[in-house]
Amino acid sequence: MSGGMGNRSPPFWPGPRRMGGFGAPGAPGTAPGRGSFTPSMMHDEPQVARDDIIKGTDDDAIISKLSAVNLGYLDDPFVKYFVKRPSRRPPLINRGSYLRTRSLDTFTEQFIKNDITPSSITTTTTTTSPTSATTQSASTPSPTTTATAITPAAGIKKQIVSLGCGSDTRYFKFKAKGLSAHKYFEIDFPESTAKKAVVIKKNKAFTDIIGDPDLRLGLGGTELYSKDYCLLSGDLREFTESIVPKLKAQGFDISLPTLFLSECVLIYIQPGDSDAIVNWVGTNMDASLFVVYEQINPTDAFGAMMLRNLKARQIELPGIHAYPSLKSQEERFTSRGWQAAKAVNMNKLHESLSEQELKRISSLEIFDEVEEWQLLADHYCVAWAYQAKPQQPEPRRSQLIHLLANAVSS
Amino acid sequence: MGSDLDRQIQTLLQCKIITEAEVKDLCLKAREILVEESNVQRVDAPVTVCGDIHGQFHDLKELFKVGGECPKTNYLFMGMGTVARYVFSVMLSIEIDLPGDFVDRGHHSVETFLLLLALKVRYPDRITLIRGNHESRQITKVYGFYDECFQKFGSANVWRYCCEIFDYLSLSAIIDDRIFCVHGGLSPSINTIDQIRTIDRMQEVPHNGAMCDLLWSDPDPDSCTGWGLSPRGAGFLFGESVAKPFLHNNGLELIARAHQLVMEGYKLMFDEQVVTVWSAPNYCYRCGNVAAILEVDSNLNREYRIFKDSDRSSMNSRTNPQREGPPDYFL
Repeated sequence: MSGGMGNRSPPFWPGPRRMGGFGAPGAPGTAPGRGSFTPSMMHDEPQVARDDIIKGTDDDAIISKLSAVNLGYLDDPFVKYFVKRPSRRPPLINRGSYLRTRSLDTFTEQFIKNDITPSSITTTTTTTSPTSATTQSASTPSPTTTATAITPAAGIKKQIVSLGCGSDTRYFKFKAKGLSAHKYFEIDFPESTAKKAVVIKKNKAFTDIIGDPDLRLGLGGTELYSKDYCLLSGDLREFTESIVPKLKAQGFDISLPTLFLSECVLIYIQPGDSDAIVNWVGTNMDASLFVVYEQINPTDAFGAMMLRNLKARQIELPGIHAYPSLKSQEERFTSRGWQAAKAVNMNKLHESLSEQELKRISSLEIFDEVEEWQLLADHYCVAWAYQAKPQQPEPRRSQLIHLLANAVSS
Repeated sequence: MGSDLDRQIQTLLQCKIITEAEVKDLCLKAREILVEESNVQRVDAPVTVCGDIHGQFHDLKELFKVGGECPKTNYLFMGMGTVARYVFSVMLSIEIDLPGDFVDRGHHSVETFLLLLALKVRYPDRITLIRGNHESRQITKVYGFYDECFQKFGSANVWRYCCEIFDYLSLSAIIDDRIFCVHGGLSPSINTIDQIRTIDRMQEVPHNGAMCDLLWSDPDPDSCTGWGLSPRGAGFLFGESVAKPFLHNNGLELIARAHQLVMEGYKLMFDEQVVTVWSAPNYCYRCGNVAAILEVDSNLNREYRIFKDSDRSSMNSRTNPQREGPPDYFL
């Protein structure tokens, strides 16, 4: 689904030393030595067969999102362009698609909307971020350092990086509402980005939103570049070596506050590789907010069955045992020095819906899957964390932290 | 009963459908039997009490293996769960892609319901079927039974025949005047068993009122106030302070009900005076739960038998599971 790239593109993830994580040892497509993607691999039949399976899950997921849109759970006029054969999904799946999208939308919206204001320097807010961030942002900046403070009037530039974007439409949805970041980068494997680029390039609904006459395709149609939106192809397991240079070539700026989104993505790569991404972000970005949506609780009866069922679809979750709980999801960040981290499961998110919103979605269709919903929702979490590099002057750092804390508040 | 019926039962036991004409005939016969039943059907112990099957046909056969074949064992089903819910709607779309390779998983609500109905017609005194909240037009439409009927019979006729039968199903049962069996639970509109007897049940499950509550309510172990709003949008949550007086006033010792998935197959509440029995193992091939049936002997001693999903329905035995559409997750 949006962001589900990890689950459908493993065959394109080169690097033999890492391939063992996908499929059973010796399963088709995991033979050692299968290096970077080359056209000849298309003729490798087991490989192609596996691709098809994985692509199937992607289609399945986009269909789920469209189902939620068509029933009125979500408002998104762009999803339909990615679905050839719409189909109505069961209520439980609709509700889950809705909740996960809504939750990440909320972070995105707050991140885009929040700005540095004079009041933000002195007021203490944030109820959900438990740690030092609140205290730091509360500290009044010393008058001697105001030279480095961000000028409120200018408005602070921000970036968004969607890791494994799949067919996600968030950039378009938000920009259509007049909400956009300075730069929005999407990254996925070439096969996914190529498909996405075609849809975007040939539909006015998308090009109008991008609104850049210089919008152009690149790298054999696997990438798209415009002023504020870039679709890039690459392998997240080579984040530092290959993704970062690509980002930088398109104007990615490590000094800007940046939101990183990972919707069911990190969990599909080996913990060593996902950790490398978190490490890079934590040590190189002046300020960043990281939002992760993925599965947890692999060892209880439902979780074990989930892994078995996914395995039957040749989908593995190499990351789930490294970060199997809410606590470990938070520690993924706090142990690396991030200022604040919080993880909640989908039940918690569901409970946090306003009575009015709950009433609205309850009226959309019958929902008689209460126990299964609770089980399922117990196995998915949203985790967020933010950091601001210590080696930067005050009050800028406090301002940045405050900005990020606001983006995750409420 | 004729050999035709026995033949149909044999067909259904192999998870094969019978003809539309046979379904029609079966439903007519079932109607004659069910119309004579009370809203509170009297059942004599010994009897084996089961919860919904949810179209998990092979697990129903597993249940018969564990509990004994009908008519040898006397059965009471507290609802059939005539839909496999989301599993089914997902798989339908896959079937269209892959004709001819679509077998035996989860979406056998038609075969399951018809088998139970055929057994009812064949052995009316050895199997009691009471209505669950899924035995309704609205739910079967949303959760796939309608589509399944259409898919398998080429028209909605079978769905229509089945829905007519739903309206005839009894609403509850009492075993030896002591154990009250109902699909969901209690209703604030009902204080006595006699009040249930006066309900006009020949209708689609209403959105509220006594009949709706019996099929939709859930016990709430955390309740201290008695009645609460149900997250399902129908029925109520009922607490201990409601359940115990109901039992006492009606001379009962236990409320047995289904309706809620419990990972351990059954769950006792309120000082063992209310029990949930869940009979669909690894529900929707996703939940990883075990299932249970409740055996009540002639002295009303109770024994719970736990069982797992049958090998045939287990994902493990699948050679090509993706073709058969494993359950949905958010990916």
